[in-house]
Amino acid sequence: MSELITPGNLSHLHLLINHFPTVGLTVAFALLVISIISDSEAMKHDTMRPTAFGMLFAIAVMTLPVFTTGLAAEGAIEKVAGVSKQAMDAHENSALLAFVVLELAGAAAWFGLWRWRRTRRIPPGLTILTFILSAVSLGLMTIAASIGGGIRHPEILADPNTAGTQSMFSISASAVAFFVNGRGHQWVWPTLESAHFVGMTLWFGVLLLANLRLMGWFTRIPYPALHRLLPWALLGFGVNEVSGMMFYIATPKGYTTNVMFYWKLLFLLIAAADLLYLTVWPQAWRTEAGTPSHTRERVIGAAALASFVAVMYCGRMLPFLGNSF
Amino acid sequence: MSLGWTVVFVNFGIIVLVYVLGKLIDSAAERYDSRND
Amino acid sequence: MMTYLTALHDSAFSTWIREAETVWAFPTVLTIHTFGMMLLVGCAWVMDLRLLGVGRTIPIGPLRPLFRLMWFAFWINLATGLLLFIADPERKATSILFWSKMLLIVINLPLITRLERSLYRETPEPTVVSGGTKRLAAASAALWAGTIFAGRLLGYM
Repeated sequence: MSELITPGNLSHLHLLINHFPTVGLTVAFALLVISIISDSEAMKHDTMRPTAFGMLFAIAVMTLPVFTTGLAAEGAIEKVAGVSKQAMDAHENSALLAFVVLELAGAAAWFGLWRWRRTRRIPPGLTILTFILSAVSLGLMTIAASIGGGIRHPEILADPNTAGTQSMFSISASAVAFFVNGRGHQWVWPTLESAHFVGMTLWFGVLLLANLRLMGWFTRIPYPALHRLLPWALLGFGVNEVSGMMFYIATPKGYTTNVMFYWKLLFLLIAAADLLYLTVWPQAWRTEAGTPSHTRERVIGAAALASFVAVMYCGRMLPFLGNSF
Repeated sequence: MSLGWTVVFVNFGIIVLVYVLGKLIDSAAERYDSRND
Repeated sequence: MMTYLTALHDSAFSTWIREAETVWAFPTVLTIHTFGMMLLVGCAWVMDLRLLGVGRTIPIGPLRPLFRLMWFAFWINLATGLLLFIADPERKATSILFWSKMLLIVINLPLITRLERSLYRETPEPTVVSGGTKRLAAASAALWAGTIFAGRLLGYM
């Protein structure tokens, strides 16, 4: 598998999946707008708005590998003639801000879905919040994408000489890296690692119970009661995403060419899909107290639990398998 | 030595923050879930 | 004492865990230990959160098997922890960090036993959680957090 990690493939992967937070986000945002301005109650509450929220959540999840492959692509092409480090840094910094806002939009969208499943209504406040966050992230992604295009195609810019100009809407990746790695900051990495374990045990505990319920254990607990714990899984995962991204931005070379990290991301995507399933799928929600589970739910639960363990395994094995550190 | 304590304090801070946020969300659920019954 | 620990360190088994080129030695033991931690503390967080009043619609009676899961995970970690100790006995045995972690665990285990007993003493389906039980749950959760931190810092030795 590790022979697939070539500079060409890494750049290509980034160029492939960066369509999610650009094209995908545009479509999702459009659906959200339509659901807001539509007069149809059905569109608002039963169909289009939950769909738009679900898309936003999925796109936010997919953008995690988009960001990570971006750094991998940088590593792949930084030695190529005509590629400016300045342009790549400007792109990375604007992408980082856009990514942060998008993740917040995805979280807001998830909360909207969670409320929708529980009461068949999405609270107006959550709709407004999600709308604002996705609008802002769409704008920021547009800027980031344009700067990114300028890395290899300066002809798309009004003034090709401006390729690599830093946008003011940025988070400095090197500042993040300095915070994590800088002299006198030895406490940061161990602190982040401990936080990463705390977040991991939290999301695993909640999703373990929820998936075991899907599989037919703990049948005397009504599923909607467990569903109420799902925000804790998101919080745990949030701690891990923040700490994980800080590890990644601070020392990308330790991850971008390590095949275990890509496996970890893949299993994380499966875990996120499980969270979405647990949050909104009617078959999950309708798991009645005392009734046996269907085969499909058992398979989904088992696959989800296996992928959680796989995420932990890949993360724990990063320094041993693959070539980290 | 002090590095260890920094790890402990910052992380307990993170745990408290997560706990407070989670509790707020759960109280909101307690209030709003039954509204549509 | 140190001579025994040094002999242990020089033993074939310890050397194998520590230095074998295979992924089945130290990395695997460490990964299983991490899995045990994830399972043990994961169940503990959920139980403690419920007892602290989160997710009040979850009935407490049916949660009791979580304690079984926690003990299962504990035995896994006792075994793998022993192997990790054997791999590096001198440094671990002389480390305040290591003994702090053991202390936290040794305080937590009877606490959890007491928690389960007091929770289900009156009825197998408790509906109210007493203040004392809440305090036990909060204390246990804090002790697990401390155990995680001590364990993670040990990894830097």
